[in-house]
Amino acid sequence: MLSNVQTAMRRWHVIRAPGFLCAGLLFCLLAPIAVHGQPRIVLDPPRNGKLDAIVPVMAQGSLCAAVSDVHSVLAFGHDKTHPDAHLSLFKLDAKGIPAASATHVKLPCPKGLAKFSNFVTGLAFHPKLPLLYVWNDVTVPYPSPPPPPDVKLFDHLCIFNIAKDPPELLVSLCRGDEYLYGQYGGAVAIDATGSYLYIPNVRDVKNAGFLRLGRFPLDADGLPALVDSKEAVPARTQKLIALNAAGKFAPTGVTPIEYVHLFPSNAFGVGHSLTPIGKDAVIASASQGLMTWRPDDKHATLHGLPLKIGGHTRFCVHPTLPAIFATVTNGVRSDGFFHAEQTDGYLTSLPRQYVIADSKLSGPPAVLTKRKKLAIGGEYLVYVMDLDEVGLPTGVPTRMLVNNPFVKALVYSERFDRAYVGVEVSK
Amino acid sequence: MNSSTLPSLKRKQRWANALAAVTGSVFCFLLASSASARTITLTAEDADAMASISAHAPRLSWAMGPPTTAGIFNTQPALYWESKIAVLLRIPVKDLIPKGQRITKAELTIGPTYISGTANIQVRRLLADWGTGVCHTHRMTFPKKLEWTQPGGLGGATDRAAKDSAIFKITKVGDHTVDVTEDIELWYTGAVKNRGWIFTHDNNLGIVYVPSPYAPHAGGAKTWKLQITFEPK
Repeated sequence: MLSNVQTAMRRWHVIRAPGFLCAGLLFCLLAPIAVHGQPRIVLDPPRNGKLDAIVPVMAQGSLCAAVSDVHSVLAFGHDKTHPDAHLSLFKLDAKGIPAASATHVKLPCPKGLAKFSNFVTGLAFHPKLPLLYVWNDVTVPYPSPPPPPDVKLFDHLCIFNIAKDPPELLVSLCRGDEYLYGQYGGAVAIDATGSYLYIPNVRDVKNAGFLRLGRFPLDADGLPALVDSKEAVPARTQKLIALNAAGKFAPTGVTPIEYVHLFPSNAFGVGHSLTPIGKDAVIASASQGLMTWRPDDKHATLHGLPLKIGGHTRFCVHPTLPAIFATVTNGVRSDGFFHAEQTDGYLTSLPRQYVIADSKLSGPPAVLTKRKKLAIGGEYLVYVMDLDEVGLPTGVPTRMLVNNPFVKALVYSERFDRAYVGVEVSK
Repeated sequence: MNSSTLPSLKRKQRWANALAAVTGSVFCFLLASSASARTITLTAEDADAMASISAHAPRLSWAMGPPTTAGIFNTQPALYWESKIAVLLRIPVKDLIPKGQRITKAELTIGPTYISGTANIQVRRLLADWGTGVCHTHRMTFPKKLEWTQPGGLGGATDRAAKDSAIFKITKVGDHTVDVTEDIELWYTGAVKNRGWIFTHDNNLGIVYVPSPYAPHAGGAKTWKLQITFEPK
């Protein structure tokens, strides 16, 4: 019987051996193909750890965040899931530690939209004045079915005076046909000199499919400079309100019309992130990647650099190096992020895609400038990695546990050398 | 059958199988290595550096067409190639070909989809280092601002090689192929540093539409092909 078994096994071996040979041959033939190029750079598997620079802050359903180093205030914008607030403001102490409790703020919404919810997609502090600019939207589907009439009364931009406690709503603006509604993305930004306010989700009045970015010049008081700046602030504010009510509050500058490659329609609008570079250029993102808008450059007003993955594209720009880091989410959270480059606001170089194995990235990156690190939020984790001298990710990423299934709000304060991340209430 | 003999036999057999697999792989690897010439096809997706520069937009790294009246520049879906535009492309061939090979043939292919008149696309090796911020005026703007010897990277024997590596004579749409064996050999052996090619459309006889070498949502990069045949030395 033993000999029978041996014979059978030898036969099996004889039959299987060519299989192994074939597998080996296939491996050898395919191996060279598998080493092609380097569009995706896989980082070493992350290790668990903790970084004291990452500060979790209780901010339920946070979609975005901003920090003012000048005024020591941290702000979170909330999704519709927050029961009590659209906006939470935390005072920061001398070390940058947020106060234990926040000031919660509700944004205005027309009565006719009571069955819908509004949510905050973008926040920006004025670089000098105690002003906070908030971009919000409402859950009315765009562009069909026909919206409730009060959509035309919904103000997307709210400007708060944060010197008051609680913050005082100075004015709410940006209503009417000039603005998209029902967009789940859209940042707002001000250049470092406080000269211009950049806004997302502007549309062509005659064509609902033509999406644009817009900008307003700001006056010395941080208000859109559309009325005579010699008048007192209350009088100017009333004039702005009147313009807005008449549906005539429109940005003075808008991007040229392009609706195929740079501004295609999508659920997140246009201007998912906005970063002014100097006074005259802004880097923006939309569903197909990055673009730079130079409103005063007649020859190269707008130029784009697509990324490999389309979707909700949020990025940050390194303050001193050419590096731009971007994450893209499109329903499926990605395990990768992009590195692109700019100099003087001109997009340059071939974007690279970096992969963190098994990560599910969900939020915008933040550069921790003083520590030469990059942080990106994911599913219950914040990933932190080193940056080399030219701003490329290097080394083994560290992942830090945070209580948030979708980390979307992450912002860095250079003054306090801390990155604040919005987390959920423990249940 | 002795019950203690069978597990022992199975263990031996597993070892034999594993040995067969390893031997098979090694044999096939040696066979593949020692086999005659092999050909690989690389595309613009394998590039590690790329730009498209234009006198129309002297600071842009990505200008793939003449300016629209609105001043918009984009990289996809097509490269609308006229005489002011040059494409810079570097593929790290040395990293993509196994060591110890001899290059026997290398061919570069592009596939125009529209032509107006006829056009010559000149291909030359770049000699000057270029990188972040490359544009019509500068070969890089980071970490230092360094200008081309001649705007557009056209300086002969300084910015780019003094003579053409090849010329695409575009007279019809469809794939056009040129021989670039010498360049690949120079780069592979390290005789010359691989700074990629500059593709220029110098004769101004007409516009050519080519699928963009950087169009991640349109797939044009796959139509820029570099086919390299090599064999062991």
